[in-house]
Amino acid sequence: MGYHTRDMLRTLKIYPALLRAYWQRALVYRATYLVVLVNASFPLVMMAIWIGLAQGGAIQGYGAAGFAAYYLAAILVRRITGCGIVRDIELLVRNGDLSVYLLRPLDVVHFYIARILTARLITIPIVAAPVLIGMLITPGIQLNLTPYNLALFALACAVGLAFEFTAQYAIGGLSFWMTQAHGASAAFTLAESFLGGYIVPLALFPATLQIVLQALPFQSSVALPVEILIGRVTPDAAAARILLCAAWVFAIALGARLIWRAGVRSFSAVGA
Amino acid sequence: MKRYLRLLALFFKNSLQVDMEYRVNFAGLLFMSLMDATWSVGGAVLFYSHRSSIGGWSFNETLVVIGLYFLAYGFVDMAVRPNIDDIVEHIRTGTMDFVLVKPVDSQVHATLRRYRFQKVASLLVGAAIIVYALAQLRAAPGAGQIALFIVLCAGGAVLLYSAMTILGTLSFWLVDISNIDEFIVGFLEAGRYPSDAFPEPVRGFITFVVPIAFITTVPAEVVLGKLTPQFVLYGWVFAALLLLGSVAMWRAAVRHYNSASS
Repeated sequence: MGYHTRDMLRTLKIYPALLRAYWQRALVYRATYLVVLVNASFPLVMMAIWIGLAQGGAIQGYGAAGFAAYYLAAILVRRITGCGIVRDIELLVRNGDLSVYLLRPLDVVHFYIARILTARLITIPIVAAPVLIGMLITPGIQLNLTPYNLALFALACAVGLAFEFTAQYAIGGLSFWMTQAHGASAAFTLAESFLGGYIVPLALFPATLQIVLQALPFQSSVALPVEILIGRVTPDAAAARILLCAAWVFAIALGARLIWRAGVRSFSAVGA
Repeated sequence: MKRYLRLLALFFKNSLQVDMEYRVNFAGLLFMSLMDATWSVGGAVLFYSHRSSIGGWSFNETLVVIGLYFLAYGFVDMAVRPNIDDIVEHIRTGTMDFVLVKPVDSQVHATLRRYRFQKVASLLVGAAIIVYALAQLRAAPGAGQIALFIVLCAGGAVLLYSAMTILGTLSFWLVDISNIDEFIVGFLEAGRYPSDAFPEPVRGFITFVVPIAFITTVPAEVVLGKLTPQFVLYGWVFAALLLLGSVAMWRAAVRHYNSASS
């Protein structure tokens, strides 16, 4: 058995325990999850305005029910793909607690992965229930629920989460050198919500901009999974866009790894 | 009264000194406000690329509302939130006692104590948007309009202060409710665009039930000269009632409070 295989097997063995530990931790903070609902309801404002505008006729193929479906799905998808880890990384680096993690036989990234995955188990049901009720009671909502399409939807969500996580992990890694990494992350989140279809569906952007946005990975955070779920994109086109985003994620992950490697080296050089 | 004004001036000065000590970079906050404004205005650009008028509002008129949203948000961020955060922290750690024993009205001392002046960035962005929009419209509001505008903005401020204070007092009972201010900020999101842009029943809801319209849409109507006068009265009555409500809530909360240690 090669060194790498053994290493990976050991990591896999640790994961159940790691996930259990972070699940317990997630439960402790359950009161703050109510705030999740408030934050999640943010797209309702844009939804209401577009529904009002659609009463004068469908816009780029979106009628009133179309907009309702888009934004309700966006609320759910955002809870699946969104994660905020930069501030935590920043604190860890600044007050030197990172050295404790560096001593452990498991890379820091795994602790963050465990934390993000377990938090999802709580936030997704909280948001999914009202979203599903909303979809059931709104007349005329159409979803593409064939098994293959649902599999594509799940895959797109996974890629979206991976994009958000790797991008934030890279930005968090910047805190080895700068003190305002959370500012960079807030700017990233704002740009992402506009360019990724969280605020306005991509189909409503000018045509040339749409082409650019469909080539960027931001779409995986909201637009791509949502468009798959509401059946606005054919499975073939969806698969192509998922692959493109996955390639982006791979490149970003590589960048994050380089940033962290250089960061940890300079971190220990300070002697913390 | 004079004593309270002097106290308020002292609070301002002290907050300013603290701000100067921990200078969070103003440029960073300004950049964030500009980003936020970009998507808000960008959203409006997209609305108007598909429709020429929205609920009877033109693009530049909508810009005035967006500017007012940033004024309101900046006010909450600068003057209200810091105090609410402090109250929650005081109750959690038990230092609320020190506030209550001070020989001044405890609500004044607890809710008007802290200001984060670097958050003025949002106010500047909001004012810039309004001035730009008015220039585009070639609108020059008269003195009466400006006076009424100020009265309305003050009403909006009272509304926001009261609503936030009422939420803040809940921490006397529930203890750990950090982030509770997100509720108000969440509702305020509906003030980014004119209330007429929303279909019924949302429009009625944000006009009468949770009068967000009074905070951003109605002041915009005043400077644009498209006002419905009864709303002014309605908004101020609502604000006054909410202010009384916050006083009542604060008194009940303090009576209920029996410190963290004893």
